[in-house]
Amino acid sequence: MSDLIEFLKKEGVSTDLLDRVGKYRKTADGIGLPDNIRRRVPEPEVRYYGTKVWEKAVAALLCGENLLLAGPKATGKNVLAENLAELFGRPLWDVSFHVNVDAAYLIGTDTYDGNKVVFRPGPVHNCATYGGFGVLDEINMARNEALAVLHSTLDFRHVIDVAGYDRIHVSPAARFIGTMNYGYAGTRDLNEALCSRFAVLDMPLIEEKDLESLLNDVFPDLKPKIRQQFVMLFYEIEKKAEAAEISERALDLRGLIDAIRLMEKGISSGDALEMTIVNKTFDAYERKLVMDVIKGRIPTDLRRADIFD
Amino acid sequence: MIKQHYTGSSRRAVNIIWNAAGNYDFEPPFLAFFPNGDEDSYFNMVIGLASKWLDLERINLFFDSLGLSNTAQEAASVLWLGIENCVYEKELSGRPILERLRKERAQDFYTYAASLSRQQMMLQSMKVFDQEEARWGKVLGKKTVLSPGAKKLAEALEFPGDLDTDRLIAKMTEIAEDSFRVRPGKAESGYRAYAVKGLARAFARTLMHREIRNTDLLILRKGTGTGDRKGAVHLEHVFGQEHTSGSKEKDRQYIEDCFGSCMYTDQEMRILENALCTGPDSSCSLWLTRVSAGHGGSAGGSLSSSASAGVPAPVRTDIAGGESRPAAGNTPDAAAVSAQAEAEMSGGSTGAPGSAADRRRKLLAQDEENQRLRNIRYYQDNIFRIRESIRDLSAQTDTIFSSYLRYLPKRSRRGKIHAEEAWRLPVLSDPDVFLSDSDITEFSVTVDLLLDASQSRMNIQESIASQALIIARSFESCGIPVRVTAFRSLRGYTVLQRLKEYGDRKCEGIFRYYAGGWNRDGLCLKTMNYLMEDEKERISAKRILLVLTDANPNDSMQIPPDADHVFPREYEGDVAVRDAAEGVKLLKKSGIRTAAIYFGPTTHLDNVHQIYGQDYVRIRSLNQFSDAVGMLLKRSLEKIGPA
Repeated sequence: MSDLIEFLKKEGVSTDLLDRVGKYRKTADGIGLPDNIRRRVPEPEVRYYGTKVWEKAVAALLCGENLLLAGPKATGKNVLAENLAELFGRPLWDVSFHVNVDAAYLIGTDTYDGNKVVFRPGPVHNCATYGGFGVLDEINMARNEALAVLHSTLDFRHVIDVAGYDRIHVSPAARFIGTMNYGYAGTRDLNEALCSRFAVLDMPLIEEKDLESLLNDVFPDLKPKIRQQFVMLFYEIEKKAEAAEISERALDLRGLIDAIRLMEKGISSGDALEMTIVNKTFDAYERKLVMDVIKGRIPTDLRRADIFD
Repeated sequence: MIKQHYTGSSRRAVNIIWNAAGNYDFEPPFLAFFPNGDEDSYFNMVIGLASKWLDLERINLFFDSLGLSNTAQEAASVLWLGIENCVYEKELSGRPILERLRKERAQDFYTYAASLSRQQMMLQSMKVFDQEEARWGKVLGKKTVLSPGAKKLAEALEFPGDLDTDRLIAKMTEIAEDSFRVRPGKAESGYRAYAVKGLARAFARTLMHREIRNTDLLILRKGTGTGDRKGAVHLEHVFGQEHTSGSKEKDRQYIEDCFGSCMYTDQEMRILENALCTGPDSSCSLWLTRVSAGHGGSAGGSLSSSASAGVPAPVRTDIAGGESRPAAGNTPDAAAVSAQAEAEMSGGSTGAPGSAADRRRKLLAQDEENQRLRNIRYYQDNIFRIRESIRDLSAQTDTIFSSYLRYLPKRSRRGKIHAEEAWRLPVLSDPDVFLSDSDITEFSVTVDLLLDASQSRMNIQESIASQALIIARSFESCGIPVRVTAFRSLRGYTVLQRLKEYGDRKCEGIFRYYAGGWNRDGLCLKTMNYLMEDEKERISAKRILLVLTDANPNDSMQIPPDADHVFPREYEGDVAVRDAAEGVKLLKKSGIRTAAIYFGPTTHLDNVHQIYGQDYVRIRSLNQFSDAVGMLLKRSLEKIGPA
């Protein structure tokens, strides 16, 4: 955790905010966590880069707000969510939303323990009990009526009324972080009632210098000149997708990082990029266009020794 | 404005240029290709870099000013080597791969040169060849033997990387004058259209008798129809211009010749016209038809067999200003149509073999068939992209439907346990005590796609046809019945032409889409409302109507005088927009979700808002058409269904 604090200080995040995070942690540490729950405090490998976004997110969470991270692909929504949980030192529950998510899925459901029918708590219930961070991933994929159950959890009432069981007060340490992408198929606009319970953070695409730092972070041995070309390649693909000349499938930051990882293992640059970026588009013509962009930046026959020091 | 559309290798070339320029908002004035037709990636990158570092527009003007002589062409080829060196030096530090790409390009030159026969070699411009050899030889470290003059020119062409556009042009001017004896003159101003207005226009029109006798004719576009000409076509009202032949029978015959017979009986049409052709549309008529195997040339041809048929080579015709009519006059076919029009205007319309009407029918059938073949060819040229789009939209539609439409549960042997029925298992040994999704949804939906087929769409016919096909096939594959109708107006007739009926999974009728005529949106929408209302007894599904429009209703048939207006008014502008808005209001009142996909200039944005309210999506490229339809479908279902 201290690494993360150091990182944030280096990134220029307000020390005042970080001090207040320290105070939060001291208060929240009082909430006892069983070992199996303590293991849920994440230690992500990748850092989120973007000072302003960090400051906004930390400030909102300190104020007790829930966060809604809205933005297109490759903006680091989940990375930020994990980083925030680590910073605040809280266990994390990931809830992937889909069409069939319902109240039982979120709050909990009845189950038979071999002897009697008991309540099996869902992730939102667990978050509320243990003061965890609940990441409601792709929140706009679910039906709005399924989400209505969250209203009382997210607003000033901070309660979950489990029908037939108990009324649980949400721990003051608990926070919910929704992520959403407006563009994905099957998504819908969040209804006003739910939206008003979040502070919405519009996630920008990672900045050039931040992407370079990120690559440097993950691959410290990557040659600076090559690193810069990877960064430029990412933005060139992004521009092409923005101009609607190709789909967004090839715009994949995870794919780029995976490609460099493959190169580290000895795969040639051309093959690695083809596997992790080019082949993500299924149209033969589009692949050619993506390949043209790559060929204009990265030689396809680079080996490990050409790329890493 | 219609953006220029590129296909095949030109699209790839232009993408390389845009990518290198880091800017996608311009149409490159140059594209580089190898003699075998493959795009020249390196030189396309050079063009893009020239746009990034220099003022490409001024360079373009400079090359224009050299003229079109062979020497000027030689000079241009050689001077590009200078630009190449300049932008290479500018870009190299930021893009180290350029060095390798340059070497590969040099290698390509030698491979190409080695493949040339003696005769081909003799056809080369030696001056250009020498300079290329000098450049690429140097890049590869090869020794080249050059005359002192060529050597001097090769040195002069090594433009340094610190040149700006002014100094680059000065250097190019010097080389053009010294080595090619070409003096760059003033840039050619190109074709200039002088607008003649007011009295002068009326006078000119009186003199040009044929221009005034501008009876509405169905004239099919002779260009490529893929948006290769800039600007939407706009039909214009001219004072005193007649748009009908003056005889109801002749007009009706003409419409029947153009679009085939009406799908309803005379009596049914009378009922329809009595109900709809009132108020501003009281002087109009309706014609409802469907494409059939019997009309429009050799309609029986299937998709696969017709692709290889001889499609007439595209002819580029420039459309000047707002008048579309003169464009058609540029081509032999159009001249024939005009001649036929005159024949018709002078009376003869018997329909007998060899008569003017018969010739007209044949000519139109041929034109329609040509357009159908063009649509098919476009489809086949872009088959991979179209298939990908169909897959995408199908997946999107499927997800949307699974989001908004719940499948009704049915009793089953697996699924969620149905507590009320659970007793049946131990007591009756009935295993069907679970509930699973049945094939029946809470409600079903049909989609009607209404395509504006007026002349304003003439530059993008093939794209519209292919996009409509993508939508129809995707929806049909998801089990949503789609009907596609094209609409246009001609000689007072508002013609609704069914290109595809519900459930027709082949969708081949869509290839019969072509543009021509005017558009009286109001009457068309009212007619759609009437027909869909009429079908209510048969079709219980929720109805969605999606309209592809440029929100610029414009018809040749005037609005007759009424209590507030002594004189007839043109069907255009605010009046027409209000009329179309009335149509949409009626549809919405009938519970038909109506939304528009707006593809047109910003100037008509207000119109689309006025007509469709919030229910529209604006697209800037036809490639976004199917995405927009997906979005509108989602919005429509949100309002209809349980979201």
